[in-house]
Amino acid sequence: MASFTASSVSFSCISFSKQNQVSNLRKASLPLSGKGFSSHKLPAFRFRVACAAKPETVTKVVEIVKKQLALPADRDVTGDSKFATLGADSLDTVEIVMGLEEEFGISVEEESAQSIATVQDAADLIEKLLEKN
Amino acid sequence: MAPPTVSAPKRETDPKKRVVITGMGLVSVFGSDVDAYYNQLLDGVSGITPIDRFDVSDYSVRFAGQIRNFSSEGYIDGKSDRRLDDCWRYCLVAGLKALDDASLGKRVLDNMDKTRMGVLVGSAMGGVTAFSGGIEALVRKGHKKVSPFFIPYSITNMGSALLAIETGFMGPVYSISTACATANHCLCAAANHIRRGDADVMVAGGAESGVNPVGVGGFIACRALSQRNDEPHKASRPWDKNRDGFVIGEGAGVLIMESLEHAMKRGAKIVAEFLGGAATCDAHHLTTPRLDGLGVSSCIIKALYDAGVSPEEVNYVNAHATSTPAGDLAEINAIKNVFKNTSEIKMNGTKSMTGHGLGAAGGLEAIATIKAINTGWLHPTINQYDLEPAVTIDTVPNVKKQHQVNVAISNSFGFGGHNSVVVFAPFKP
Repeated sequence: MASFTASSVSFSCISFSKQNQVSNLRKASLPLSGKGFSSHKLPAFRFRVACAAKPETVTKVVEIVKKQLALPADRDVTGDSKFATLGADSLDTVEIVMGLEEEFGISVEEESAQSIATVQDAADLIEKLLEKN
Repeated sequence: MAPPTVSAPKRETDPKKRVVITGMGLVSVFGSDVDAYYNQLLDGVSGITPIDRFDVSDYSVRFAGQIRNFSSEGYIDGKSDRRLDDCWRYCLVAGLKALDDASLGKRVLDNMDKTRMGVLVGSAMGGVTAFSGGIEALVRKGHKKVSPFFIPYSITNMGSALLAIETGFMGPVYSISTACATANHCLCAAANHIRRGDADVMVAGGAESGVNPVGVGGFIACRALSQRNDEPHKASRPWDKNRDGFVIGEGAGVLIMESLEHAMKRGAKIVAEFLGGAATCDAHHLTTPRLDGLGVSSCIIKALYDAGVSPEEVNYVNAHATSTPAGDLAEINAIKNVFKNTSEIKMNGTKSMTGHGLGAAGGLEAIATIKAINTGWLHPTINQYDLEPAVTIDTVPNVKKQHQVNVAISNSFGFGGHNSVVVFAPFKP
């Protein structure tokens, strides 16, 4: 996976769906630092949510998830980690979302909560809700 | 009232129907080891101390049999341990320890028919802290802030359910909730499942987490607790003229009950035999027992009939004896009515040292009774300074006594007038 920091990427609600679109963007020279996009390197890239969250948000979500699920400190939890894989069942996920609501001062709708499957999903949703406030 | 008997009572002989005890596990104010617990009881140590788990500075009762330094390590995973109500933590640890004690670890169990194994560990109040926390969230922050675990961790059946989830037991799994008679009722029901052939093994007993604002505040409100704040360790004094109420306690006591046939087939160690038990009701008052002890005496008689023993065979009574003005006397009256000659009987009150474990009491006291059978030593009833004149039975005052138990009964009575008596004896093949 290519990695980039949020500070060097500014997505303004552009959705990437297929590999062949990327080469078009490259021609439009987006301010991406690090490795440039080249089609043969990116088949795995998919962005499901339009706006990606800040890493601080992801870090905070990871911290809360680790605490709620009592995961050891050295357990690797990233944006891609699925709640189910981390050992969270449906009730655990509800409790985690409630913990996030408490921490960030937001209110998550039932429908939105049900679509959260990974740490990244949660972080993205939080940012979206924070922006709205 | 006594059931008609054509001949002298006879004990059960069919090994499929005889119920034996093959393991014990507990969590108590004296720790989570059965022998350490019983040794403290034998030494007449009081487990009653000032409460420091929460702020009791303006409570009229500021002491209890509060458990300290409890650890669930090795028994409960981190995620559950963090949020489980203490009641269920005690239940799980006691139940799993009992299974270990019975040499029924995971590998052994995986080779057995778990559809013929069940759990009956009850609780009087259940997940009280989970429930009160949920109510607080509901009132202060609204219904959307109620935890998804509010219901599951509050309801009184969860102890048994959690043990079943942990062990895979798919036989009879439920709980009984009869206030302070809970654990004995669970033992009786569990034994009946074994006798009926529904199950070979039953994990049975009671668990309670009573030392919290709800438990203490609630029992203060119904004027049931002793207020001897200046001398907590002397507050629980069954049958003493200056008793003024019970002392709240907590913990869990669990037995592994097994059919004799199943126990012998797997070479299990047998620590005692459960001969029988019974349940009756005073049908009298919410909190006060019948002073004539009629509900209790009929319960004892029925339990002895179920056990196939006559009153003359009983020489040890582990009394309910909560140290309340009314309750202690009602029980004495009942015992004297059933046992015409009490000169050979010894009686003690475990609650004088542990406090009243509510739903767990019957389980903790069953273990004390079985240890008495095994060790040949009865623990004392402490704080025996000035006994009521009606108490003409030896209460093993203040110092332990050697005593070879022939047949023992353990009594538990609950708010609502629920009476339960269980009968144990040394196992004789």
